[in-house]
Amino acid sequence: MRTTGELLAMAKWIRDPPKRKNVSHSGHSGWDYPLDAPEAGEGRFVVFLRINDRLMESFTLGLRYQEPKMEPAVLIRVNGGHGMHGNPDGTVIEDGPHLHAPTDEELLEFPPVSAWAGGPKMAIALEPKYRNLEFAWQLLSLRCSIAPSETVAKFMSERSAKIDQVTVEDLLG
Amino acid sequence: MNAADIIAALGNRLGVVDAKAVRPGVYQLAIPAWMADRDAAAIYVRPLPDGRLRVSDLGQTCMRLSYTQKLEDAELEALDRVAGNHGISLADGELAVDVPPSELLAATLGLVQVESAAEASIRANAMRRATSESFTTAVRAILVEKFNGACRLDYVDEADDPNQHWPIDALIDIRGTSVGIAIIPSALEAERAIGTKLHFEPKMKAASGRHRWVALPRNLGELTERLQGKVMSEYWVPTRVFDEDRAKAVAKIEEFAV
Repeated sequence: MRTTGELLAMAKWIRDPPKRKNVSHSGHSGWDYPLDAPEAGEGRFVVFLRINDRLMESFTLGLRYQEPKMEPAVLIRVNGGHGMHGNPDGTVIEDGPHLHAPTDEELLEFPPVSAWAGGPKMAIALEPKYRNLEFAWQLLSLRCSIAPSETVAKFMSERSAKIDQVTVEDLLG
Repeated sequence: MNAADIIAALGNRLGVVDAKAVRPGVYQLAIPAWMADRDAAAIYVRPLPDGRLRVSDLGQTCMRLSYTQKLEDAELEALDRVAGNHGISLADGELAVDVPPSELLAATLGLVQVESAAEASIRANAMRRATSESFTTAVRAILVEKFNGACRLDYVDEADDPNQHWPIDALIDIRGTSVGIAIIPSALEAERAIGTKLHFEPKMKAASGRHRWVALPRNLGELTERLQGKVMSEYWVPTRVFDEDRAKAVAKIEEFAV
């Protein structure tokens, strides 16, 4: 049995070649990247990306973990701007990119943090640059010990450009 | 504190913190209604040409559900039902309702309730279904591995049952004995298995050769006593909890067949 912290620290790789799965649905675009993590045993990690088609700056890039007979759990995730977030300690993030990450106590817990499968309740505000998926991916892969992947970085860059383009078009009406 | 104080307090605390334009003509309401992960409920308001307001989630609820589960028909139907209870509709992945301005607060609260319910009940149902499906998949793989070509999955009598209403989960030929296997992850599958056996039994009795019926439950003890009794009266059950010793259960099937 591994703690949330151990799972995040475990070395992971995007499978080569990347087996990106398109899981888009009406209203949002989505992709899942299964990861390789030899230390995980029967556990499986997936990086997931979701982008709201109506509000493309609202994206979620996260790491999901699941073992057989266990509910899937989001261990950590980066959000683009989607509105307010209210931390359990009473602080509020008004808007903008933020990172849902386990607290020090939650890092020591098992099973992984999942009061709801959406992930940790505590979030920290991020600099505006993390509205860009390239930076969001860099942050996530660093926090989750995922080895760099040129293919994924390129995909995130393409998605970011699309988000920027469509958002500007939408705002101009 | 009197009634006026209560109303004032409620009004002050429920008052919209902010209404921000996120797109031309689309406003996001910032109200302190938190989902389980402490993100605020997604409430967007769009004035319509007829003077009403469209209150919607702009697809955020479905997107959030998709972090950990596939959005299949069962989930979408469940979400549609939950939403419908509050007069809200689900279309193209978006929860929405059109109301006069006087009903904005009610619509907003209703949408918050639907978003919360989606995360709790729909996810729980999806997990129960996923558990059943993964058990069935695992057992099928074990049977095929053990019995190879002698194992026919989802057997139907095409002449008798062209619409395939009564599939046998696995029909295995073991040295001339025909063994019908029912894989039972849930009460629903238990009832189905009993119906299938009763459907096939007359024809099998009339045919030559030996026939046996075996049930492989995920956990027989999770069924009601009555249902356990029904299963055991129609099927031979080599083990009450299949996962406790899979190899032994499968070996017993072979012994039972001859």
